[in-house]
Amino acid sequence: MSFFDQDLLISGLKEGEKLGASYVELRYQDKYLANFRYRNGELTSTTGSREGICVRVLIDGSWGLSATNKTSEREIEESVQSAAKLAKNSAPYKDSKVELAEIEIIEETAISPRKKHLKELSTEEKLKMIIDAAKVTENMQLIKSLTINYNEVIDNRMIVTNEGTRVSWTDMKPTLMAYAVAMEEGKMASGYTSWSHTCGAEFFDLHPMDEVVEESAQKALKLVKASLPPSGLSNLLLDQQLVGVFAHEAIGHTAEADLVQLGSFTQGKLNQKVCDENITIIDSPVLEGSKWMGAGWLPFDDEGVRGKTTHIIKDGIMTGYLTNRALAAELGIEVTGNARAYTFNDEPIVRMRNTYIKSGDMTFEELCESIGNGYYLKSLQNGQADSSGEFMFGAVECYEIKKAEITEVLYQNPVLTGNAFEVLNSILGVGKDFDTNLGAGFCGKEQPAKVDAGGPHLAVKAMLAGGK
Amino acid sequence: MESEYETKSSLLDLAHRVLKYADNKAITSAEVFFHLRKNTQVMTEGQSISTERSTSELGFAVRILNKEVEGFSYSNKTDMNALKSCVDEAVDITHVAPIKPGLKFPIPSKYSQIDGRFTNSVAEVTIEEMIDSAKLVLEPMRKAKVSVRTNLSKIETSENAFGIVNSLGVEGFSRSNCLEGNFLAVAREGEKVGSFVFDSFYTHDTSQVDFLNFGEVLTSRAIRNLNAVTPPSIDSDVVIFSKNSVFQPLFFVIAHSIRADSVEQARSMWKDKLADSVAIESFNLIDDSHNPNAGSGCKPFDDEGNKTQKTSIINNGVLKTFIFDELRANKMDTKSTGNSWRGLGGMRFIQPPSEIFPNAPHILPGDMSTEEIHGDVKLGIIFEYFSGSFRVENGIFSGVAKGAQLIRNGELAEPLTNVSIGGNVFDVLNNITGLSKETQLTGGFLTTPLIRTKGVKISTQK
Repeated sequence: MSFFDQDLLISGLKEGEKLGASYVELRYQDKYLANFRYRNGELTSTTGSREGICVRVLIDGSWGLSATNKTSEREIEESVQSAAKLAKNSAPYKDSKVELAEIEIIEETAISPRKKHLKELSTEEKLKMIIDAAKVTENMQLIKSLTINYNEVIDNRMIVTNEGTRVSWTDMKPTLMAYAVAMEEGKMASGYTSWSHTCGAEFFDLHPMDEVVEESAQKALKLVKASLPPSGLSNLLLDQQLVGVFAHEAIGHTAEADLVQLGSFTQGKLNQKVCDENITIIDSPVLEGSKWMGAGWLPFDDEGVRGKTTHIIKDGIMTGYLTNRALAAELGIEVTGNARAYTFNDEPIVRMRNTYIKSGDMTFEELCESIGNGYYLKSLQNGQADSSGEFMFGAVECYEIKKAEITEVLYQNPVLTGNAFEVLNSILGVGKDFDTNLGAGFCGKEQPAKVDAGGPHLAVKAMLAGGK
Repeated sequence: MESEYETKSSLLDLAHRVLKYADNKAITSAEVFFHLRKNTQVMTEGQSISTERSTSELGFAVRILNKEVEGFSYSNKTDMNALKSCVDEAVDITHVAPIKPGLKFPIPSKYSQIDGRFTNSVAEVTIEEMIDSAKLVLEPMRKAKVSVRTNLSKIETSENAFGIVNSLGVEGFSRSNCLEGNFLAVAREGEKVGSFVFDSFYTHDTSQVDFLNFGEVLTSRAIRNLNAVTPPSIDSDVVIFSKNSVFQPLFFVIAHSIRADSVEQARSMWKDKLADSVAIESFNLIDDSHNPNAGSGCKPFDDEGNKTQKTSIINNGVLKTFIFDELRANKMDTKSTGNSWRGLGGMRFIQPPSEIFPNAPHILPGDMSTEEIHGDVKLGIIFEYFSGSFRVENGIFSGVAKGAQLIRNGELAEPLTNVSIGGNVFDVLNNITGLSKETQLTGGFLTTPLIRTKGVKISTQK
C-alpha cells in the first residue's frame, strides 16, 4: 500500500531502540471524512482529512506515547524522543512493569470488502440523493422536522513495530441516519432509522435513502399517537438491534480486560456458568454469515495483532475476555486483537468489534408463545451499562403482546433496565433468526469506536422503567 | 515551548495567506479557521500511573460562501499546497450544494481578551508535578480496605489556540490553557461490585485543586456504592439533581429549547414562550461567556467570529431570549448572541460552525444551604448522573438514577441501586422546590447549584 512511506516509520523504530526502548510501535493514520447533513431544508457539507503519527515505546516496563500531525522524518524522530522521555519519566512510579504477550508477527495488507468505491459516486450525486430523499416527507403534514445525516469514512492505517510487524489496511464505512419529528395536538414524537456497514457505494442499494427516510417518518407518525409505556417487571421480546446492544453494552463491556481488572462482574468468572446455557456471545473481527459486513470490521488491531474471534460466553459459561497485549500478559490469557485507537492521537485501548448473541432454534411465533402476555420492543434509541452488569436501554417502539399475538397497541420510548446476567439467567427463548445493526452509533469509552452488534430475537423477563 | 510555526503571528499569517488564495477565486467571501491543541496527560490504571502521553495537532478549516451557498473543507496538513487543495474542495462544493438563505459571514468586531484563561500557573506545570498530583489522587485508594481501582483516568494539561479570519475583515485569536482531571473508579469487595463512579475537575489555577481530597471523595463514593440497596419501593416524588444529572437530562433539554434553529424549525417546546414563564420564579440561567471562572466554553468570539456576550436567558423564571448564530439571526431578523459552535468537543476545525449552544452556561444559585436542601425532605433521593433516555423535543425522560442515595427525614441515608426515575424536564422546571447556594462546575462546562424538585416518578427494580 502506498498511502505512506513505510520506511519513514521504520526509521523511527531505530531511534526508539537507540533510546533504550524494548518495544517501539509507530502508527500512521490518514482518515478522510465526508459528512452531509440535511436538516429542514438546509444542507451542510463537510469534507476533509486528518493524518498523523502515533509513537508508543516501552522502556523499563513503562509506556510513553507521543502523537503529532507532523510527519516528516525529523518530526517523527522528535516524536520518538518525546515518547521515550515520557516513558522514562513514569517508569519509577509504576507498581509493576508492563509486559507484552507474545504474538504472531505479521506482514500483511488488507482492504475492507466492497463492490464499488465510495468515491465512485460524486459529492453531487450524494447530495442529490439526500435532497430527493427529503421530499418523501413533503406531504406528511404532521412531520415538522426531518434530519438526514450521511457520512463516509475512508481510513488508511499503517503499523510497524521493532518486533517486525508490518501491517496496513484501508477501511471504508458509510453511515446513514434519518430522524423525523412529528407533532400533533401539542404532542411531539420522533422516529429514527440508521444503518452503517463496512462496504462501498453498494450501501445505497442496500438501504435506499428514500426508504430510510420513509421508515423514520412512519415511526414518528405512529409514535405521536402513542402513550408512555407501563412500568414494572414484564415478559419482553427484544428485536435484533436491542439484542445487539444488550450483547455489546451489558455483557461485552464487562468482558473487556481493562474493565475486568477494574473489578467488573466477570472478574474471576472464567470457566464459570454466568447465564442460561442457551446463551453464547461472540466478539468477532470480521462478521461472516451476516447479510452485510459489520461496521466493526477489523482484521488487525492498532497493535498490529491479527483479530481473533472470541467466545465471551459459550453455552452459558464465561469463556473469554477481550484483550490487548499488555492485559493478556497480565492475566495470562490469549491476545484477541481488541486494541483500538480512533484517531492517530489516541492510545489503543480494549474495544469491541462485532459483538453478537448466537442464534437459537425458536421461530418468531414460538418466541411470542413464550412471552404470552408482554411487550415487543423494537429499534434502539440508546444504551448504557455499569461494571456490575446493570444496564439501561432506550427503545423506540413498544407493542403490546396479548395471548402470544402482537397487537396494534403501541407505546413510545420504553426504557428497559435490570442486571444483564440476571436477565440472561432467566431467558424465555432465543430466536433462530439473525441480523446486525447498531445503526449510526459509536461506542464511547474515552474515545469513539465504530462497532457493530446484533443477534436473534430474544425473549426475556426484565423491568420497564419510568413510563406512566 | 512554542515552536515558530505555532506563534500567534505565524498562525494568523498562514490563515491570511490561505484567505488571500481563496479570495482570488471568483467567490463572495471566505473564512479560515484554525485550532491548535497540545496536551500532556498522565494516565492512571488500577492504583498506579500508567501511560504518559503527549499529543499535538494543528488543523485548518476553510469555509467558502458563493452568494448563500456554503462549501467547507478541512485539513491538518498545514503546508500551503494542502491548504490550497482545501480551498479548492470547498469551492467545488459550492457548485453543487443548495443555497442556505440568510447565510453570511459576521462583520468585524472588537474582541475583548479574557484575562485568566491562559495562566502561567498551568503553563509551568511539569510532568513530574502531574505525576505527584496523580499519586495524591490514588493515595486514598491504596489505603482503602477494599479494592478501589481506576481505569482510563487522567490528569492533563492542555493548551488550545483558536483563530479566525474572513474576507470581511474579521480577525480573532484566542489562547487558553487548563488543568483537568477525569477519573473513573470502581470498588469491589469479594463478589460485591460497585457502580462506576466518575468525577472531574477543571481549573486555570492549579492551587485551587486539592488532589488528595479529590481522591478521598472519589474513593469514599466508590466504596459507598458497594453497599447500595434496592428498596421494594420509594414512596416519594422528591428528587435532588446533583453533578452531571443537571447537565443531562435537564440542561440538555433546556439548551435544545433555547437554540434559535430549534425555534425557527418548530422543534422547540418553547418556540412560542418568549417573555413567558417557563420555570419557577427563582430559576435563572445566564450564558456567562466572559467569566474566566466559567467552564471550557468561555471565549471572546464564537466559532464563526461573532463577539460573545453575557446573555440572560431565563430571568426570574421568564424566558428572555433565544440564542443565535449568524445564520439564524439573519433569518429571524435579529443579532447573533455569539453562540455558534463547530461541534461540542474534540478538534474544532473538523466541522463547520453549524451548531448553536450556550458557551458558559450558569444556573444561578438559590438561597438554601446544602443541609437545608436535604433538610426539608422527609423521603426522597439525591443522585449524581442519569443513565437513560430523554427527548429534547418533548422533555420526557426515563432511566436509571446512578450514584443515588436515599434521603430520610432530612438526612442522607443508604446508597441506592436499581432505582429508576421518569418525568418531564419542562414540568421539573416548574416544580423546583429548592436551589442551593453552593454551585459547582460539572463536566468542566455547566455551573449549577443542586436542584431539588418534586413530581418525578421514582420506581425500583425489585
